Amino acid sequence: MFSPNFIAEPGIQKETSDESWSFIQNKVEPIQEAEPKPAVEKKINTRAKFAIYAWAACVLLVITWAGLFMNPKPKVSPDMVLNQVIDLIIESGFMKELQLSEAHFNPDFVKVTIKAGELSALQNFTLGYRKEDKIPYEIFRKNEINYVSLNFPWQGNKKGGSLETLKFLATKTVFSNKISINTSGNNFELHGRSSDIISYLLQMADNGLIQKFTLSVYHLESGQFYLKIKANQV
Amino acid sequence: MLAISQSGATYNYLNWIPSESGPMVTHHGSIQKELENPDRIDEHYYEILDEIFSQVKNGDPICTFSLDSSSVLFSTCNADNSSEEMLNWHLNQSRDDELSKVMDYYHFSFAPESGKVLNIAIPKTIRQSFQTNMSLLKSKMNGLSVGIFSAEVGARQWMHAYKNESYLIWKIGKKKNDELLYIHNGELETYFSFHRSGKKSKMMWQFGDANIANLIMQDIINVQDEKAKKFTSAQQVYLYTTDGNMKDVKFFHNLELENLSLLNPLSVLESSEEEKVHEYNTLALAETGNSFGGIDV
Repeated sequence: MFSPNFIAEPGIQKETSDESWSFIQNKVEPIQEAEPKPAVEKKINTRAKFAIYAWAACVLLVITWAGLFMNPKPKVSPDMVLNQVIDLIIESGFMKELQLSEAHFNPDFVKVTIKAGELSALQNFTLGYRKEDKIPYEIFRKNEINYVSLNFPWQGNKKGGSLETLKFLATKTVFSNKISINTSGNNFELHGRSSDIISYLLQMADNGLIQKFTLSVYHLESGQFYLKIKANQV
Repeated sequence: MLAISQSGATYNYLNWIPSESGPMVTHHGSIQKELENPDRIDEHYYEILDEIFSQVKNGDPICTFSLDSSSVLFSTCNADNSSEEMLNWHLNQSRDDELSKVMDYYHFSFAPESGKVLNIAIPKTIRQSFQTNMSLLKSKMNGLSVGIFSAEVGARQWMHAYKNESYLIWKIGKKKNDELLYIHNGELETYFSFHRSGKKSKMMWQFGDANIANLIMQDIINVQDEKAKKFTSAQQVYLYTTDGNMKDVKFFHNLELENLSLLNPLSVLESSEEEKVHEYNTLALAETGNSFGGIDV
């Protein structure tokens, strides 16, 4: 007897399916420095010993300097970054005090800008889990509105994305009846509700396409969202 | 593991954890929520999942969901499931192109000798809304099933129904409109609904083997009229309801038929708290069965 599981891809089904949707996040862990290998003991003369001590002192100095002026870069997965951006899009729908302003998926980083009327809302936001993830951020004020800009690490320079793929993906995605899609040159543009943008981004992620394009999400004054995608040049 | 099942605007949930003696129930209950705007079904399910997750406080939330059968479309065609080409040809003859744009079709085999396939179509919006909501809630969904099919998994796991040569899953519905699944030698033979009302009884809809469905219908009427002291069409019958039609459930249960059991997980599973379980009021939890697929109980 079969056990239906609609998480599986549609079509002819096996008796059972173990397919699942998992978005349980693993904690972000900094990249561990490789432990120095134990020094091989050798019989050496005094001059050689001095050279080794001098070299070791130099290495220690460099490590100390690096420790003082550099922080270890956190290892952040593309899924986690995408989930954070999607969270912010959704939160913009029902949280009045915090609104996603724009998100830019560049080749080497994702810049997410959030705006708020009250500075305290942004301060509370940065005190949350985003600070624990050691994501660099900048708070600024412009035209009486407060902004926080977060820079997530990203690898968005994968090749292979084409405009045709984006058009095909749009035919597979179920949108509301409030969308418009435009294509011109290397650009694909989608205006719609937050749910439309999220559905399309998730479709891109499911198809392994999210890192093959340069894309931007804008939250418009009308409350609508605007997604602009540029195909990376092959 | 949180198991949720939908029956109309009622969402029943049962949370269980693995223990040395098998699954142990830690919470169970239900919430009510009407769908206010069908265009915002993703937000509707988000609010339900969020509310149940917050009531259960389960750490990493891992869940299964069983939809109300009114959320999906059922159909059948005479096609051998092993031949995808033949199946596609049959579907092209019968399927509406506009419907295919908004529904995802799943095909399941009836008993091989029948040469029939059961098609279940689920709205793409529902599938996508669960996927999106799992992302938003940073959760995991291990299974998405529907109504009586989820209860059938429960019967197999909780009651070891697979040990019977044949068994019947019987869902008592509103206004005596019942839904039934008949399994023989581990294969689905028929899925049907009939109006159970003495001489006015009639088949509402039926998929699979029509002869067996008619025999089962007559068998139930005989038992209802107290002309028979056991079911003859199936070795074992598992009875439940989700919409509170307790009067009929009590009637059949009080007949003390030798091959009728109530399909209630709480009568089988251990509970973390000593509580008196109401065997009728908690029958709706039967449709959380898909959470227990492949689990030793």
